[in-house]
Amino acid sequence: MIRRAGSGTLLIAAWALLSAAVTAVMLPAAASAHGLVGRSDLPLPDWLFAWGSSIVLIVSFVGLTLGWRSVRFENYDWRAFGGAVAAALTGRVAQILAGAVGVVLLVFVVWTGIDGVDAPDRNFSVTFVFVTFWLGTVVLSVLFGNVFRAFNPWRAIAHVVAAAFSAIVGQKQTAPLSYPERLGRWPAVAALVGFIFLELVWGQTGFAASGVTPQTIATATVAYSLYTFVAMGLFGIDRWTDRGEAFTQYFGMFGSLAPFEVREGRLGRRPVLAGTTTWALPAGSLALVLTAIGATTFDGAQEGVLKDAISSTFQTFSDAGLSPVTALRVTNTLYLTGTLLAVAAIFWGGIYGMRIVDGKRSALELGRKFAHAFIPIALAYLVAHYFSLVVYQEQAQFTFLLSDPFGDGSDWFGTAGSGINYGLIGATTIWYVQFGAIVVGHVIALALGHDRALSLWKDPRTAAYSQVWMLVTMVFFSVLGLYLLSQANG
Amino acid sequence: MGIPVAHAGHWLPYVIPGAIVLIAVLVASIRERRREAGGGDAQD
Repeated sequence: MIRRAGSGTLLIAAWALLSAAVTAVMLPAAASAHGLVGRSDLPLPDWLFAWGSSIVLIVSFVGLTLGWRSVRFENYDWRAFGGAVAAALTGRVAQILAGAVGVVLLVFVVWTGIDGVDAPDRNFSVTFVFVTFWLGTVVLSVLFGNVFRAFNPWRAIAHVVAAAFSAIVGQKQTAPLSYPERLGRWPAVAALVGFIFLELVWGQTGFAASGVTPQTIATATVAYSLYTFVAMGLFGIDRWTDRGEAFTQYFGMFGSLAPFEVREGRLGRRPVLAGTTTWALPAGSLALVLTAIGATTFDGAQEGVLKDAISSTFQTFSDAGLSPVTALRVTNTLYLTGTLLAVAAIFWGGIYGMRIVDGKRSALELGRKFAHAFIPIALAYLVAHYFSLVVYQEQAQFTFLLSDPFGDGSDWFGTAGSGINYGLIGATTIWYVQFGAIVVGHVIALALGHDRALSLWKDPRTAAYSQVWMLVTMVFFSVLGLYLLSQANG
Repeated sequence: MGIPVAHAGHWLPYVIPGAIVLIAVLVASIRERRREAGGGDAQD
């Protein structure tokens, strides 16, 4: 007999959704007449996938409640790898090589950005920064852990400069300032918002005269490099890398899902997903997760659901006398801000619901305790939204952009004449990948939330009762993600 | 303005699952509160 909090009521909800979905499938003509049917190459209307994901989440919740009765991820075991290979991977030679690769790529981005052609699609820098680096490193991080820390070019350059300086003056240098712990990851959040602004607001003006040009990429890269060097000089190279450096923190967030972790210079393994349980401890971690989700949400909404609204607001600002470029940037700034606030509102709605169970804990404490559960959602949104972009643009990256990075007609590796094969994956395949990513990401998020609830409240019934609100949040985010995708795809 | 009512056919089917789950969770929460207030052991 089901005696866990809310399980019976939720199963009735799942049954109601399933019954209505089956009825809708049995009456395709009626659904079509109301304009509810999605793309013709899908066997079902796309909204039914949202209902399907909701049913999967409800059933997963009930399954977790009934079958997952003890804490599994908290205080996880970490075991160092033995052997020469593991030692070599974190050894001095590997660190120097990885750092050198990072520095070469950083310099090449700036060089191609300055010297290459203006066309963003024919210049190495734009695709490299926004696709290969920004998205590709996420894939590597999820598989292998926070690999970017090793390749971080700013950290590598700073260590070389610091070592040279120490050798000249004859004593080891120490940072003049102590990094305030209360700042946590907030500097990384601020820089991340800046990067997102560059990508989604500055670069999405829709006018040929502006947008993210290779020169803008080069300028932004140099500016961020200078800012990072100053911060590293003030607070210490590794201290800044481990708190304030935006990309190490962003990729490290996804790296916490991976089964590999370096501790005190030694490579070891841990249970998959377990690294998330300790990742969100510093201040600002929650903001980093929500910003990542919000950025992808806005990117998707910009292309679909918010398109008309953005166009209308843009027209209002244009009529008020702003130049077209300024009007669109102001408009997109407002909608980006609104989207970030909306994502935060869904999150906090679930957290305040949880306080029904435990009013003694503050919402902020609960928010921080459950922030890590939303990392899989940030990943799911990324995969769903950018999967096809990566498949297409990486063909460019490793063919003509590799052979002709400046766009000046060079052919270094004989692949300059290659193009992008847009037939590599079809629209239906893309949709199923998107749907799969959304469902799996949210189920994993539920599991992480459930495990944390068991750790906080000990009693499985109380833990499950708290997590019904997490379920609401997960259903909202999964349905929102699928709706945004359906609108952008349509 | 953002989501016109005229296009409700597009977004309404997506709202339904969230609404159903939210109502179910509210019902479950109210039942749990009553159980706690009454000191009983309500079964879902």
